[in-house]
Amino acid sequence: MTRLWRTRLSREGVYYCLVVLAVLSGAVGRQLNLLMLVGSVLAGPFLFSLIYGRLALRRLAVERKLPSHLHAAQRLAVDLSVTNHRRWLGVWGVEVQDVLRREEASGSAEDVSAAVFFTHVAAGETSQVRYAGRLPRRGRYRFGPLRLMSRFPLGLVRHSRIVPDTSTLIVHPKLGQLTRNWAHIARENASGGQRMQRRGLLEGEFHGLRDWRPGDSRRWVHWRTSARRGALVVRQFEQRRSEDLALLVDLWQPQDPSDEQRENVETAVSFVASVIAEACGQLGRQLVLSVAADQPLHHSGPASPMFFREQMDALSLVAPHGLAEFPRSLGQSLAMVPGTMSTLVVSTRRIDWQSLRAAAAEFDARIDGRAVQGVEVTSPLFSRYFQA
Amino acid sequence: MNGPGPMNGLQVDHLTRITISAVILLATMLLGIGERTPDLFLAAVAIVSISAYVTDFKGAFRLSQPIADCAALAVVGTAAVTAMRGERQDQIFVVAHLQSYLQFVLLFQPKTPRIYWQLALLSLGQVAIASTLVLGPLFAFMLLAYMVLGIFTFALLLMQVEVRRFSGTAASQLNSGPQLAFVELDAPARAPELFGRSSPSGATLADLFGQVALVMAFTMGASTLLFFVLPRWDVPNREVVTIDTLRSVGFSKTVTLGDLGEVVNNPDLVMRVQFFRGHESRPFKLVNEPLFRGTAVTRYRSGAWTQPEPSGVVSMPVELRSPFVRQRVTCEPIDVSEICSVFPVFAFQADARLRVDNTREHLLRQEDYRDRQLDFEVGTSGIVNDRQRRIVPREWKIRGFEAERLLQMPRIRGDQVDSLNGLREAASRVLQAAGIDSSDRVAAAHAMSEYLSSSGKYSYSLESQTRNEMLDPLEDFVTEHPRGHCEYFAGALVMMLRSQGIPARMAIGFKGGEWNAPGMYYQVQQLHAHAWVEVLLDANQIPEGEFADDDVPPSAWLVLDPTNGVQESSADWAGPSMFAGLYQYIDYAQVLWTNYVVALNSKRQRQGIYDPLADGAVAAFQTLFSREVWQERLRALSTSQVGTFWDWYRRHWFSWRGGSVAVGFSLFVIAIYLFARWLVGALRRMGLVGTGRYGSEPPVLEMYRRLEVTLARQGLVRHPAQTAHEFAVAAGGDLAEHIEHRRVAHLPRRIVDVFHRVRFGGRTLDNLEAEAVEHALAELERALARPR
Repeated sequence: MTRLWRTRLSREGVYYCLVVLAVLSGAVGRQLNLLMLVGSVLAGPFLFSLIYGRLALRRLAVERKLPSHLHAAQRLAVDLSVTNHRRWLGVWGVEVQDVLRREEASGSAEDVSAAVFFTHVAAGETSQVRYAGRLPRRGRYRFGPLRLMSRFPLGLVRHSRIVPDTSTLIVHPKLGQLTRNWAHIARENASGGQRMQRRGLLEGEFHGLRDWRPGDSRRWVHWRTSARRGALVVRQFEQRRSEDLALLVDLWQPQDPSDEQRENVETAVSFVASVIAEACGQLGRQLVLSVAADQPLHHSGPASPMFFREQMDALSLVAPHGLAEFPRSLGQSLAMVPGTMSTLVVSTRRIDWQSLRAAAAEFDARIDGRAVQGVEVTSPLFSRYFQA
Repeated sequence: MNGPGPMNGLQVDHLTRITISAVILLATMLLGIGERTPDLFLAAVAIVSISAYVTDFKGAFRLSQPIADCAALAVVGTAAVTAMRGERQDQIFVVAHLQSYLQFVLLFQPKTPRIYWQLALLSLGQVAIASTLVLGPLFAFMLLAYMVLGIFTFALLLMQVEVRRFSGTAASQLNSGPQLAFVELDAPARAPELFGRSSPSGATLADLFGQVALVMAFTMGASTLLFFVLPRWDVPNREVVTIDTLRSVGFSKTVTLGDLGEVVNNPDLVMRVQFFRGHESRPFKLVNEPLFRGTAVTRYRSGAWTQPEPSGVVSMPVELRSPFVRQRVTCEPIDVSEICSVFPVFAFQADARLRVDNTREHLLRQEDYRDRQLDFEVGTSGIVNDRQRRIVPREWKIRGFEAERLLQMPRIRGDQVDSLNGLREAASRVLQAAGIDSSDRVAAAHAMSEYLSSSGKYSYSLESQTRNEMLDPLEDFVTEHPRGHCEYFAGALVMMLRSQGIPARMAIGFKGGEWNAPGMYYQVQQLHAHAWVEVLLDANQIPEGEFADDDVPPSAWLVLDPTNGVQESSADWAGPSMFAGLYQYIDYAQVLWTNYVVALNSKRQRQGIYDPLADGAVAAFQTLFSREVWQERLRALSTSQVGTFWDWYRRHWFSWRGGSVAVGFSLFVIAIYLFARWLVGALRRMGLVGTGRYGSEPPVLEMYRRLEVTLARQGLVRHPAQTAHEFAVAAGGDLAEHIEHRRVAHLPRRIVDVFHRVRFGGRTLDNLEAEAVEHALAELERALARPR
């Protein structure tokens, strides 16, 4: 059980205590009254230190304010505020220590502490100090408990009080830079979708009517209007359908991964997060995210800030799987994706298209004819599309 | 010392150096006072000033650690050699000087917390040594100043160290606003790295000094308590020995007329005396002026009074007479053995330090105790009803040769002229004029004393007088130059009495002294030295009623003070200014310091601390648990105003009229409250006043309320027992059942999640999140606007 209060002598305090004891014992042994007076006067500040720190910390309230969200490697700024609930007495020299731990499945994470120092907190007032830094890895971070410490007035005794205030912050994957090459690929993919759409492989939502153009499917002809107008008129489907995107992610990591393989996983997650961030910049696009991981994910919905936040939350906590074979779940996901939707398969290893095709076939889906592209994080070409 | 603005690092740095310098100088000064030489202090002032300028301010010269170590070793070596050659007392000074020299070395080093602590430790050693050398209250004041400065110094140092600790690593790499310590991590570190900093303090040095004052107040209280409870035991010969030149008291064993010299107006302290009735602990003041007799002189020749040869000096007899008065006497170190007190004296317990000379009837201290302050307590039967007796009982009948001494006059041989002829004639004239026979010693003595003191012929003067050198000084005083001081008056009266066959002697001691009201003691200074007359009375000459019938002594001394014009010096000091009162308090403080600090022993500790505490505890216990005390209290209460009121209240505790008014008034107040509440609500509904609490609600709460309103349109209302989250889940399930609302079924939960994070999770809602919630809410409102 954690002790909420702790009082310890500092190194100076130990020496000071020894000096006082030496003076007092010498004075008492020799019955020298004035030396006893010196010893007693020296003992005074020490006794004060033993009492004061505890009293000073007792009526302090400390509060932590975390940012609502954060991406890995972004600046973290945590505000710690201390309120002195005393009516008359200001408090000097209070250190507040916060402990931060990244929650990992293995439980091997180490605590990292940050401390701030409040020179003076006047009676009835609140002071605020910020500590900052960077959290390089995504995940769930637990903050706390907070520890208040004081060595005032002479640094002889250190009192500490633990405030069992814990908070959790989910650090989203790091957002990297999608390069021009990536933009080019994305455009191509989108136009491929249009072509497929225009070939009428899949129909979208009715958008309006327009005059017939060569290449339009006969099935799109709106016969009643054509008859009334005397010219072929076709139904027009929503153009944005071609900008929809499905992300199928194979987040694989071997059982005993190397640093590079761990980095590959993070890079893949970061890449996916960056693609989603870009995609969510245009509201209304339909997005599908399917991740083959330790706990598989499958989310879909229209692009929106809320969708973005949800995917980031999910990606923050996703852990890689260690299955050697290419995951069948991606084939199932592919089967659920509309054929007109651009599909991007991301993997931390070489993509086994055969397995994917076979898995999709199990669910009556075909890869051929779809705008499906693969991204292998391990590929040397990957850096042409993404800068972490 | 402190500016009006908040502290800044440079200011604190400079101030720390200044205060540590002051601490060093105070300790050195204290040592210098003990040594009685300013050399070391002046050297310290010079070194501190030079090092402050050269090392701290300019940074031009700084001793490196190896050189400083070498210098320190050299200093220690030199001191060791010096100490081996010197006496023990010198060795203490060598150690003290060594500490100063080591400080000098440290002063030229860059100042770090370690150096500050070392400097303080060395100065503490000096204070410890000074505590054996400086015994006056000055030590207390300087120790107090030393501690205030020391605490202030180390409080400053601590703040400086802590602030540096928090700004040292990060401040140099700050790339953000003044509140933020932030470090760019170029390398792809895998572990989090966080940096805090210190708050910019808005406090001033005055605030910090206020805190130091608090520390000091506590320190004084705690150290006082600790000091008094530390164990004391009796250590023989542990009284404080003065190294001052022994003071000369205002009287001597012999009196030579005209030789008053330097005693006059010499304010040096001789002793302090307190009187206690029986075993009481509260001192009292005598009604009349006390006469503290030191010794008596009997033999007179040509202006010189001398003592008889001592016949036997013995230890004080231990006895107890009743009634009696205790006199507590604290004698300063003086150059004679005689101790002055109110006579007759007796001891309560054997005291090896005191002796009694039976011949001269005076009290002596042992020679070993002349050079130290002596504190003792003796009893006296010479004080009755708070008044000092003017007829002092004598334990035994005077012997013949003693009586002869008391009648000794200058001998007239052959045809010599009587050198005191005029004095004899004057004495005879006085008795004749008063019609008193010399056999009535009391009346005769009073008549002659009155003659000298009140006839108007003789006047008191401390100034040197012109004397007829052809005459005996007393004859000259009585017949030709009737001005003189107390010795002339007393000597003349003794001789006049003896000329009429009345045995008498001159008593020498102190008269009055100053009554110190705060301390309730007589403070006797040398200027209070006095001479008066003691007339021997046989038992049959003692006036009736002076003693109880069965307690009449075999003989007694009639005390007469014929001196005219001696001021009543024992009156309460009513000096011309406030300084007189201040002086009394200072003196009392000095007494307390001496008695309860410097010379605190086990007896005083028990009497002054433990016994009163025990008595207080017993009294408190009795006050709390004694049945009689509570009965008495209740009786007093019943007769007091409160008791009268209670009695009235008991008889008139209920009144129909008063009760009706009270109930009506209460109902009226409740009605007003309800109306006001209704009115405010109505005005809010009408939009005439703000929405109060809701008006200032954070945006997320407002959004949540919008969610509730939106869902309520679909008949989805939160049950009072439901949490917001439960409500959102339930509402989402309900929406999902309808195909047209399925796509927005997840939104209530999303919105409530955000609401929870902000409202209860301490998060803030940034613009992106607010936009997302707003977007979700708008989408939900649109979807639900269409009826199912």
